[in-house]
Amino acid sequence: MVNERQTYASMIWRQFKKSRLAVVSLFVVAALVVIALLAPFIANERPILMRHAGEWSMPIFDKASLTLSELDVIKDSSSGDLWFINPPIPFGPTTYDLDSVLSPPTKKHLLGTDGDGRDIVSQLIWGSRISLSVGVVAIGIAAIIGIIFGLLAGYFGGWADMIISRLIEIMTCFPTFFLILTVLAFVGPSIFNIMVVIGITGWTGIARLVRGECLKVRGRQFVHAAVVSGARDGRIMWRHILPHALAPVLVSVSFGVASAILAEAALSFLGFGVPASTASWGSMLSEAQEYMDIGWWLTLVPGSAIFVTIMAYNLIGEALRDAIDPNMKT
Amino acid sequence: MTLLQVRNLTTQFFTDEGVVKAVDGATFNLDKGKTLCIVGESGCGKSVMSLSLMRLIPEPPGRIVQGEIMFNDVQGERDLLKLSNEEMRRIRGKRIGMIFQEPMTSLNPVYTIGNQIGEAIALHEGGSNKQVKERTIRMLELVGIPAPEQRMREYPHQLSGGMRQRAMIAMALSCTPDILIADEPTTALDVTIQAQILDLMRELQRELGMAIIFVTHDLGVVAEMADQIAVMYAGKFVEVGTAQQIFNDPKHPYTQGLLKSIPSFEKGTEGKRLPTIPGVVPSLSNLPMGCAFADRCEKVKDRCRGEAVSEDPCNVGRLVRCFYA
Repeated sequence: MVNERQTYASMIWRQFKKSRLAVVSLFVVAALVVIALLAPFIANERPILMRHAGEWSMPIFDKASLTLSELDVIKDSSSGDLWFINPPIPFGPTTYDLDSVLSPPTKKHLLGTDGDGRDIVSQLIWGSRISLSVGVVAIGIAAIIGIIFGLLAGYFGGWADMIISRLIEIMTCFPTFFLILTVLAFVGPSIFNIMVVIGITGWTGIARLVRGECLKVRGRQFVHAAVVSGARDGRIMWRHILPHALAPVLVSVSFGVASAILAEAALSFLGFGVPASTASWGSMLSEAQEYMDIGWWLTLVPGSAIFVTIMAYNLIGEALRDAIDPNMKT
Repeated sequence: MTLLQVRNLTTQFFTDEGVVKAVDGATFNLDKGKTLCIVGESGCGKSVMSLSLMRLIPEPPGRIVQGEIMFNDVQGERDLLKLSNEEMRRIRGKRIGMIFQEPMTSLNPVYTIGNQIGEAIALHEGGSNKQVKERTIRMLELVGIPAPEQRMREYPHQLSGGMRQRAMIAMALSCTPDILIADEPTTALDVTIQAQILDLMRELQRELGMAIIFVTHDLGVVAEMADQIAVMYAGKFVEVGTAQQIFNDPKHPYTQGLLKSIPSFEKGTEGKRLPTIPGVVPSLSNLPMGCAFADRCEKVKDRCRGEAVSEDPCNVGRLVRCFYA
């Protein structure tokens, strides 16, 4: 017998790889994460690295330092001891280039500018930070609540199950989006509030999934074996039951991230999202409304970004779902 | 030395169809280093019995309604039914180990076997990772798994049924318990593996000095293992005795019927039908007032149906629940 160390994860990965679209999506998401993390280095109105009067500095981390346009002015007049590296996109999300307001895509502004002369590429890059962090944090909160409630309901049954199941049903009765709108109207829109609100309204699906999986695994003999070897309830839930529910939760999470990103975009579009000074894909779309007839790039670009991101997450979710489905094994 | 004294243990399930008396007044002693076999047909309450000893009856619908389980080890004598859940948890795995019928499903498919045996050790004995690992390897060696250092890194699906049951035994014995409860541990294995596992259990018993409660319906296995035998029928012990007494001098008609229905190779049996006990076990939720075996018994008389049978009405000197033994 070939002694192949084949874990469950490696089996899923092998199955997952069969879907080419999903692999491409994985790269898209990975690229988005890299872009979001490196946003200050990619699109900034200040140089990445600067040497001035014999001193090295990194102006991108210093809000008080001179911007590129100001440096350009100095450069001509100064004695020559000034050297700096530009970021690839030499505009911040709030750099107002008043010379080219509503400029269509040009060499200077690759995807054009908006009505205030802000560069679209730069806004897009900085906006990905909002979208991704909202998606990940909100669903992270939802997953934690969902897993805990699901495990408690499925493992203990009886009263715990009764109360949690009813709570899930009540939560699913609310039209989530309007609930979020209402709550945000009270607590005030901020990226933190959005994450929390999406998180605490989005846990029901995961809870139900974990509960079901827990009920299924609970009666299996290895759970009894863990009990007779003297394991505590918490340990049994966490170590022996949860791993079996993890794969379907992962599927649900990747769909959840997509819908959280969409929810954030919709909220920002309606003006309930991040403050106007922060670039986000939804608020870009919202501002684009005014110039719909003259600036096609204003709606197309953030719209496509939202579309591609959500598509990628959904494709990943779908491929994962197929990969963990034992009936799909070939 | 008496390790376990069970008195009048009664476990009932409260269902919509009524009260199911799965274990009804079981009383027995278990001595250190000895093997007690609990024998009976499917559905007679054997497994509920073993789960009751571990206090693992799902509650509701089940409940241990009365009785006591006096457990006597180095820490002195105590009633398991009166311990707190936390105290009971510390006894499970540490003082009383248990193995199950299905070695296929008794191991968690997402962890390596070394990981699972190590967990049981770490839970009760603690120690550094290295100590736990060394002990895991020792346990695997003890149960006769070759190349334990490689095997411990394998997942349950990479092992054969016999290997998995060995791994299960290693897990149950990892903290050298005083009692091992084995609930039909060989039923799912083929006969050669079965013999190996039984040999292994006897060997480990000698080596570690533990007592075994062996639950089975297979009288062949019983003959090989038992010091004491308790024959169970419809939730009650109908006959209790030493292996010799039960096999050589069975008193209860049910025990006699069971022994007769073992295939034999003696002269004169060729070509004849194997004797069986007619009928089925009555529903445990609706037991007759008298002897539960009456409807299937050859020797049945009116008294059997009208009157509850005490433990030894014929003064045999041991438990034989029959008026006409």
